[in-house]
Amino acid sequence: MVTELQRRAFSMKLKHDPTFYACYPHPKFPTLSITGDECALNCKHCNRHYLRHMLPCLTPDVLFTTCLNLASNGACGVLLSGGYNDEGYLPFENYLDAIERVKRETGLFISAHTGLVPGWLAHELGRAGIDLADFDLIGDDETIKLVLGIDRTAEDYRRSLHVLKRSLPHVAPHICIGLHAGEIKGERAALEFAAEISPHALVLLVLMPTLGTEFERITGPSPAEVGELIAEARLKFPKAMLALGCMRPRDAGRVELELQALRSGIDRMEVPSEQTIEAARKLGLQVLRLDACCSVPSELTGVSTWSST
Amino acid sequence: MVKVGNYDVPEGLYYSREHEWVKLEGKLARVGATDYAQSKLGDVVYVELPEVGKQVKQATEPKTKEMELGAVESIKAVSAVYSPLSGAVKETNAALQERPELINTSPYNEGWICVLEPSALETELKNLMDAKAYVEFLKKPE
Repeated sequence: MVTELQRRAFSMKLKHDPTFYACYPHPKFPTLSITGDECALNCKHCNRHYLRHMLPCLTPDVLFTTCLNLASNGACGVLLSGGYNDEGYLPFENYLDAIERVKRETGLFISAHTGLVPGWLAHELGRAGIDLADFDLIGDDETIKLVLGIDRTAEDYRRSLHVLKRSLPHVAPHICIGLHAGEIKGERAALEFAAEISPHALVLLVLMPTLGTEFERITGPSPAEVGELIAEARLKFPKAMLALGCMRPRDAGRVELELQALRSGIDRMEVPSEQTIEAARKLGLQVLRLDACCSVPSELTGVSTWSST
Repeated sequence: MVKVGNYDVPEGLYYSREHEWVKLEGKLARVGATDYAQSKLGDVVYVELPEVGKQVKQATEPKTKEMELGAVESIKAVSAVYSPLSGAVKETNAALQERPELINTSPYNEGWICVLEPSALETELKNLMDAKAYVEFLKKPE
């Protein structure tokens, strides 16, 4: 079912930019982990699960040589990620020189999962050449306590968002719908925080119940709930690039979830289903392929028209 | 079992250049993705299985749809599964629909993808590698 809110949101999207980007980060925009599969937090929705398949770069030298090899093999960018320390940020302190060298010698577009970096580190990341912060934004104190278990508040997230905005060329807030054990709780507050920095892109994720985590048996938000929130975001951010990110369930409800996002005015989607691509065309959208993470500004990477055979 | 870096390469199987494995079971051939393939893909979140009865061709260059056994999707990628042999699909691993991660956790056992009835087994086996040759193939620079 398409609500009136979604109709308005889609109409706004169509008028502003009738393009739908299907994003494929592999293999031109790989994710690297500077902590391997280590993380001090072991959050309830992840428990280090998603670190296992990142390319491990456990020293600054390995990070540099890995990026050099990736660049010479055709990569256009990298996402620097990994596990957080117990203060809730990625421990980049020892990697600043290596990042600067990667930027200088490869020209790769560099995105980073920063977490709640302190102000001085955000500034240093900008100086070293990080192009974009993919910032997980949480708008509810209880969710932070429940899921991450750290002594931080939504206000800390809001402050970090502003610090990153001042320090880096681009900041893309990521809001996980249903992060509070499947319940929608701080998402709308997070949208308010995001609006304060007028981001170029806003990425919406959907909680994935993952085996081996405390949330493996929870029920995530319904596609209709996700659609409603995306429509609200569309109307709130008429000019931002609105994306449905890679972290979302691909279960039996996957196509319905993607269609809800599409009908709510989403601009980009990571690895959409064939049915979604077909539906986008039927809705009058031009489908383009982006070989990068969905938060990356398209003018900075190679974009081609869709060419499925 | 041979190991190349972090990747397992069991002996007794045949391997394709597209990183699929084949286990001969009488006149049938069980097919799956290798440990190397699953590792490069990352967290598998969805597997598109072929329909039983589908006719496929052994993968060669250039690739065509007739060579595809379906697709494996990870968090950040979607990759076609190319058939290592020509023939008909006899059975598919329904468990992958509920637990796609079996391709990551058990690529050579519980994570098998389908069973084929090969149509030109003797000829086409010559195009596949044994474990020793696959190990050398993996050692070549990417």
